[in-house]
Amino acid sequence: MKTSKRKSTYNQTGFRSLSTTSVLALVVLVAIVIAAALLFAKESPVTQTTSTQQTTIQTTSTTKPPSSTTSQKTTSMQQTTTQQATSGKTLRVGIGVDADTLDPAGQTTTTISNIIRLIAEPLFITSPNGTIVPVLADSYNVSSNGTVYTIKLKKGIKFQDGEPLNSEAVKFTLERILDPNVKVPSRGNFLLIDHVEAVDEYTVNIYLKKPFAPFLGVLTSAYIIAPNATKQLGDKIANNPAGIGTGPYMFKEWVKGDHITLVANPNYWNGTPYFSQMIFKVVPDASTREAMLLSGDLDLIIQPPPSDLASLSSRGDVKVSWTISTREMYIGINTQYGPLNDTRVRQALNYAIDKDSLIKYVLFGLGSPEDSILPPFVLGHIAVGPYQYDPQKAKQLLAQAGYPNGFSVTLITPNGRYLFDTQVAETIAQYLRDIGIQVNVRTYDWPTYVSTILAPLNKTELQLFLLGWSPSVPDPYFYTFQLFHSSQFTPNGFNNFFYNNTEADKLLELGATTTDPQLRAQIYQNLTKIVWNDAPMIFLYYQGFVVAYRSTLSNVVLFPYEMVDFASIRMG
Amino acid sequence: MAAIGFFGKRLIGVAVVVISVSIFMFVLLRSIPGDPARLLAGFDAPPEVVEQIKERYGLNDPLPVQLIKYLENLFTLNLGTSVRTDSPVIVEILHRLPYTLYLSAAALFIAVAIGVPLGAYAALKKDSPIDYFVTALISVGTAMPTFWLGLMLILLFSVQLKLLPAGGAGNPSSIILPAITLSLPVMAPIAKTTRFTFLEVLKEDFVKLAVAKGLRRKTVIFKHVMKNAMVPVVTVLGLQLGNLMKGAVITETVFAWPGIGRLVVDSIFARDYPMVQGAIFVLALIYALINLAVDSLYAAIDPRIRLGGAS
Repeated sequence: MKTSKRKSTYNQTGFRSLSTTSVLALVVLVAIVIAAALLFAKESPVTQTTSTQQTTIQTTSTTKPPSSTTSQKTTSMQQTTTQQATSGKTLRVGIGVDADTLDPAGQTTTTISNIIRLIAEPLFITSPNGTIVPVLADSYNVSSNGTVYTIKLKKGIKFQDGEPLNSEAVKFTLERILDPNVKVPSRGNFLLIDHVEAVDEYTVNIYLKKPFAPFLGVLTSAYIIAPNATKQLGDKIANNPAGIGTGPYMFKEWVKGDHITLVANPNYWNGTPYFSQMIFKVVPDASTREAMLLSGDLDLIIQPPPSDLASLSSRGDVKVSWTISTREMYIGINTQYGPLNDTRVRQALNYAIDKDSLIKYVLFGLGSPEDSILPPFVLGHIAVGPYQYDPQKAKQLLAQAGYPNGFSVTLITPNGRYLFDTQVAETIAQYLRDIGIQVNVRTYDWPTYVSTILAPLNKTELQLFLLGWSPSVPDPYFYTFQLFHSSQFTPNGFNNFFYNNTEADKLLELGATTTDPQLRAQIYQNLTKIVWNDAPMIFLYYQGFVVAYRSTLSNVVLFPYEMVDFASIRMG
Repeated sequence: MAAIGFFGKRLIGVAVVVISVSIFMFVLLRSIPGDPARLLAGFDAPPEVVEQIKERYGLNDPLPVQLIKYLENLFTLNLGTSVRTDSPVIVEILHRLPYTLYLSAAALFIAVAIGVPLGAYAALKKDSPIDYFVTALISVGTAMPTFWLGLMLILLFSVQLKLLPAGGAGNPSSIILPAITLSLPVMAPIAKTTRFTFLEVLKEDFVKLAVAKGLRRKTVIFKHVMKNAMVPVVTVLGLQLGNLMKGAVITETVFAWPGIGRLVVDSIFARDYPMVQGAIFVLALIYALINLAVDSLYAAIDPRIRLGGAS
């Protein structure tokens, strides 16, 4: 009755009165909006710090070149807060992925490790030319049996929270990496550590379970952190790693999905940092990163769209810089599958691909043909290739192997994981069709792909597969052992070529334990010749690592392992 | 009272929908290939490291046990811990959700504020050049890919004119371009429906009567026509909310907007089960509640529609 009465009132007056129902409806809507507003308001204080700054860029950029105005604005802003010796300038960098965690031990991507390295430093780093140089370490010594690493630390270095860098901090860091209660995805590299001993204030002994030549390289990914700061932070280290490192920059804020901000460490042990602030903006889309660089919202971007590199290079206000990276792209071959079991067939596949054209037309020049199983700057690299493009020879080899009319094979590729991965796979398929092989290309999303390529021999469907290999430690061991040793058939290791060569096995074992660099280099050179000839893969190219930046920046140095030396950059 | 009963019933409906979606999502996620621990540790990680990560997040338990644990936790609104970030899922979602709600609300506002008058105006000027123009605009709006429109807007307003930021959420004006981009695919159907229903209502006798009895044109349009034409528009609006969420994923990627759409996609590619489940749970809940609100709006617009049947 009530409802109908209300209805009649409504009709008579023609006036829209709110019924109980609509009030309820409105309440639900309003509640949602208010909840949203409240939650958003809670966020805004965090974002405001950058918003004021960005406004100044936006408003002034119409009349003046944006980067110079930024630096002026921030100079006046920063000098009151941080000490005077920094330039007062801000570096704004566009990156493609956000961090999962800012815990130095939890890193999985080179992009975020590149940022972490500014906060916390390792004992050693790999320099752009591939040699391992001390950072926090002063000197080191390896025992004659190769199992004890004695490391002397530099003296007088302090963490950002004031704790001294000493042997206890190194011991703490390594033990934390080994602690099963801490999430450390890269723990595998450290499992050979037996125990760590703080000999005196500045001397650490690291005892290994067995000799492991690439161990110094492994230490480049162990960022030394302050014990007290870390203990106090507890779980918070993942989101707020304040005061934990010795690095030139200190963590300021992380707005997830949006940006990470670092500020200069005024007490940095190795000179005052140049920039007073670094902002890393998360911009997943490469075209947007490019637009933000061109509009002056960013000073440097990682991996601009390769198709635009030519037009970017031709501009006066932007520079492009790239280097051959440590990422090897290849088509893996299941050496135990049917016709692929024959070395001649595998060599034929290698001769069938025109690497130069592939790089020029598909990759926009961003690569260099693979001439070895190791990238150029890795210890033991020796040029033995590339396999020259020779379809006639490829056909001959196929005929010799008993496949004059080719055979049919499936090539699988991930989509969007590597630079133009699908396009590269399709192009290769076409080259293989030219020598009479029927190729069926299948595309997978990355998670499915990973499951597929890790299947054990008795279950694997692998025939040909596209992959990029860039180990976190650029040491020859990590380019070879897991890939080619017969004990490393998937899922134990990553030998999904199911490649089995006793001679190679011996060299791989020797390379893992020989500490003398010259002997090691020789071992890997010998290995290279064997594996290159056996061709468990179609050797393609070393992928390029590119950055683009505003021409106001100078001294932009790239590390081949897909990192930028942000600390060395200068502006204006 | 009928309304209260209606809401009670509908709220139970919402609960059923949300729980069903959660279970479906749980099963779906685990039936697609991929291993979160392996993806996190990398394909070169030794099996023992992968096992440690699995153990940490209970991924080694039998699936029914995992499902029961998940549902138990749902009732206490505990959405679990993200495999990728190791933080509570609810915290991650609350970081991101406000951005998406803000963006969606802004886009919806633009879509309605422009779509409805545009459609109405086209209907009133039927078969005029303006009508053709609007109709063409609607077709273009429906067909235009969001990411392309987004990039074009960035090129024009950020790169060329340097008026608006191209991406990020750090600036109050950052919302403008993504909101416009996201609004367009929603605006087009709203304008289309408004135009269509306006034309229908304009043919009705009561409109002719209103005109005949000498009411002002404004009164006729706003009071008689508009009110009656709004029911289908609200229906379309409700349907478009799904589109809005879909569009948010792309828009958030193009404009580097730190919303939940991007979070879900990133999490799916990492097979971060708890995070995907949590985000889908929250989105399903919001979607169901908004639909409930939209249904209830009918009664406010058209008194002939009563909630919960006859009294």
